[in-house]
Amino acid sequence: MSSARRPLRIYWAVVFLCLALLAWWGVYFFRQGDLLIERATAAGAPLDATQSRAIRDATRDTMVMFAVEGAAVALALVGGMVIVLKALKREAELGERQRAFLSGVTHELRSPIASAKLCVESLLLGRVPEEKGERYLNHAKEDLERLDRLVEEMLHSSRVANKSMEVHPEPLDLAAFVADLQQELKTEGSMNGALIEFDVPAEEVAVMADPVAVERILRNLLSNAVKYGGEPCRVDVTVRRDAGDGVLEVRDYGPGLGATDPRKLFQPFVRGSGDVVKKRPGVGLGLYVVAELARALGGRVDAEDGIEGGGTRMRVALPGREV
Amino acid sequence: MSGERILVVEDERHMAEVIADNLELEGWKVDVVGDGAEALELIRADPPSLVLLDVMLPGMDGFEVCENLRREGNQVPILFLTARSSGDDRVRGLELGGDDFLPKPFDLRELILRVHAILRRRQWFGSPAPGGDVLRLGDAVVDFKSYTARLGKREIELSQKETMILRCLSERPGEVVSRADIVDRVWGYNAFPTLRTVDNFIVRLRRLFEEDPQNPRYIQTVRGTGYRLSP
Repeated sequence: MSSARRPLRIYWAVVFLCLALLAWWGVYFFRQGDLLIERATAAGAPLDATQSRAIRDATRDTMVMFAVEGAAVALALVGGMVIVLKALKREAELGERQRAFLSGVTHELRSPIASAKLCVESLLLGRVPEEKGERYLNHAKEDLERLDRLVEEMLHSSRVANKSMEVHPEPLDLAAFVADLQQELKTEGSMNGALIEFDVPAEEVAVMADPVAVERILRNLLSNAVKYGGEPCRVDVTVRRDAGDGVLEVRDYGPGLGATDPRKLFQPFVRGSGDVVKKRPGVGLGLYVVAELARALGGRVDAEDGIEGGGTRMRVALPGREV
Repeated sequence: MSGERILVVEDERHMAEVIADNLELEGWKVDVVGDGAEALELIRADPPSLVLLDVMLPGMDGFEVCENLRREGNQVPILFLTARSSGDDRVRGLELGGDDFLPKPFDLRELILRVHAILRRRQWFGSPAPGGDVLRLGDAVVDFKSYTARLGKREIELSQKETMILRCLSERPGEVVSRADIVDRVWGYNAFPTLRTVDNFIVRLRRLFEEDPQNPRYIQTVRGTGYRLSP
């Protein structure tokens, strides 16, 4: 028996002991009247009919009281057991997600470290073709910058996880804001082999939101779509007004999420279960950050998988404002 | 050992370039691909002397590439490189028929030493056996070239490691060959198997070639030391 499971087993034993005691008391109370009458008879002083009835009535009253109170106690015990079991299941799921997270983080951090180390080691050992010295130094610098970005991203996720990130909502035109970022994001997308199409209305989509948070939301959604959008990768970004909200949608045409419930994607450390997802590096925090930022802004997120034409659609609705 | 051709399968551009440059400095010819499926096609079309295979690749991962090759009977030596260095990955790499496993980040000199070691083993195993490419164990005939053994009318396939162990023992007939010598010859110094792994392979070989595996006639145990082949 492992030391972690021992207290749990003791808890189960105590619960079952309590239930067994309750059952035993029930039997005892049920038979209490008859026992008293039998003992009086055995002692040579048999009770008359009125005395016996009075004892049986008193026993019945005790039984009724016991049935009500005993049932309440038994219910509380069983309820406690269910709560404990559910908590254990949640803990096991979280543990599993954290293990996957650790494995992802390890890979993400080790790759640039390995690459930079190899460049520097080659230079130190004088194993670099003469014309490539500067190129190796640049490789190492880029790897370290990548590492820096990763650490920054993880710190950001950690701040969100600890709820210590503040948002400062202000009046914002979601359409104009996304339109301004459009060119930059298209260029970044094409560098990663993705074609990003924007469908942004000319008229204002007025929301209350923090521009820094909205940019982070959009970048995280796009990074996700480009990473898992298959090949060739096409991603559609749409901004529109819907029932008073400002809606931002990012849709890819990739193979989708596999067996993963789309609603769970916004929980920390959860990743899709499809082949493409498993093969891509990632730690399962990007969409969690999106969800937490949207929540902090008073908005909501949802994901839609298995849509017509394939792929996954992520949607963020931000609270609108009257213009 | 120049003239050897090494295929580097790595999707991290910088990593692939630096590894390739370093291997070329050793006098080997190097090709680089960044995709598992493409690597598989290249290896099928023209097997290199060695494949440095990253595990996490786009499309088809390194484990799948290795699995496909071994299933097809392709025994090209494979050295896995991976930033995922959990024990499970190491064991999986071994089970799938990988020759060695190097976790990232690794020491450049260690990589080169391991490549040398694998190529040396390949050269040893690729060269004609001193006593011929055929080993007779009673009625059974083992062919080192085709990894097969004929038992009467039955022909059975041997794995590369089984064949290598038999060849290693057959080069010193009647002599005691230590487990450490076998590990060194067949897997290399830094490879993952323990001395116990050798025992497991021997058990399987005895089941194939001995009439009574409990009292072996051809592959005998020398207690506390190793094995002796008495053909």
